[in-house]
Amino acid sequence: MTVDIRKQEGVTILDIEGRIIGSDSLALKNIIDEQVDDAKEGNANILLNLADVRMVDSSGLGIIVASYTAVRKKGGRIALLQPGGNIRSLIVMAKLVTVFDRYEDEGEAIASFYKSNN
Amino acid sequence: MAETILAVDDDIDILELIQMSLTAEGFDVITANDGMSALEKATAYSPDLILLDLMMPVMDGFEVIGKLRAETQTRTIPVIMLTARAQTHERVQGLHAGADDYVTKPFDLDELTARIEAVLGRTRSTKYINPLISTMGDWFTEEGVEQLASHLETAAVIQQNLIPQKAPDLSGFDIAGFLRSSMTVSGDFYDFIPLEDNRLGIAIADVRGKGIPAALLMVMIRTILRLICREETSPAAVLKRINDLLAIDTDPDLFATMVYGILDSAAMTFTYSSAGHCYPLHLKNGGAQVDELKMGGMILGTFDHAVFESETIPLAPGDELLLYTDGVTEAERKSDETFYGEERLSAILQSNSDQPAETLCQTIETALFDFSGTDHRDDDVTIVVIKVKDGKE
Repeated sequence: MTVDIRKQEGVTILDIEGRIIGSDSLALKNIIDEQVDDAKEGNANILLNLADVRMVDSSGLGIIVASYTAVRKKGGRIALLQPGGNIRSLIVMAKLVTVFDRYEDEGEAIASFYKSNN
Repeated sequence: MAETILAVDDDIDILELIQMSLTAEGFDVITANDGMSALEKATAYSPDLILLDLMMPVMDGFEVIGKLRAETQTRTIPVIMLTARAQTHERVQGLHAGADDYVTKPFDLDELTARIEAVLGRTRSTKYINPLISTMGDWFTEEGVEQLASHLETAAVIQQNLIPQKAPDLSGFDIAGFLRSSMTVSGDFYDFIPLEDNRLGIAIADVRGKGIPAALLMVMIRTILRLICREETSPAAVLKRINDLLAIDTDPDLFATMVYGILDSAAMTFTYSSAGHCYPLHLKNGGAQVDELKMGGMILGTFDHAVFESETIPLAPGDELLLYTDGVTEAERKSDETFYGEERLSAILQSNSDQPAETLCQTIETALFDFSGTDHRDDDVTIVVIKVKDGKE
């Protein structure tokens, strides 16, 4: 797994590539935690770009859930961009479709942060 | 799980050589070519062992060891130094600084592997209690670890006693459970609870995370389940009460998935609800069809607003129910990075439907071994099989 971080219009976008399984989960959690810590109170806007993620296991999903709660505590929102393959079925199985906002288009995803903040 | 080794050297050729040979030995190898990135990767990946070149520009190996030992998260990771043959003084200095062993360059790859195995063998037992070590902070001593290890063994025994010691006896059914833990203490559990009117409560759960925090949450869930399962009439209500208690009492990061169902031998039904758990499989129509049981609600313990629904399915002679945790479907074949998956599981259920429940559990475990090529599991594996006898037995 590799993660690139970019900021766009006040939204921190994590471009994740590869697989999020086993020890990758811990590494991803550290990266997300750092971004949440750095964010201003009430402004933890995180978009996980999963377009290039091939495979996620249950611990990977666990980290995404943990990030959701961390972001909520700080005051902010986490959204998923292009969750494909098995992560989509994991989210459905965990009945989390109503928890995570999912987007196919990056522009639309970024705009959504401003709708929900205002 | 393959153990992860972080190799640190400023010589790219040596790094490549190490990576190639240790990967062939079955380790996961990550590399860093300077001290700074070594520290970053040690924190990010929590490797099981670090191979550290002492002579590096900017930040040398001694400084790296010092910084590793100063941080709670990295202080217990074993370090093997790579030193030049002549540097006796440095070797002593390195051992004083907290390195666990050394290998001299140019090194023999067999010797390197042997040293790694020896150091990992010494530290494996303590690795499992790292979650506690961070809370102990400066109190952490070797005696402390030994004491904890013995407590942990006691905990494991207590926990094993919470798992049903024998299959329940319910007229007309053949039932078996199987649990194999990837660690001393486990986050998985299953339970059989006799209820009145010839009914049986059946639970299977998987607590996210591993080791002691997961095991504690598992014990909490089992206790709540046992306390309330006779008060609530529907599985959905049982899960809702467990969820709400956990959501109040625990960190939202700690959560579990679970299926709770009631097997009614008089009505010949199974009423269940699933909290974000892997879908149980229902083999029916004489083995011709496998249904996924999807009714339920969210994962347990994270959302206080979670809602759950139950579903009742009719059972016929010859039907089978298979409940399992994701250690089964996520057993991995490393060679092509493929998970075992639901389709293979469903197929094995169909082709072995004539086996008794206990044999079927073993057949699945063997199939996982054949698939992944190893009996070393990343995750706990739990399987519960319920067979409706077809009258001939």
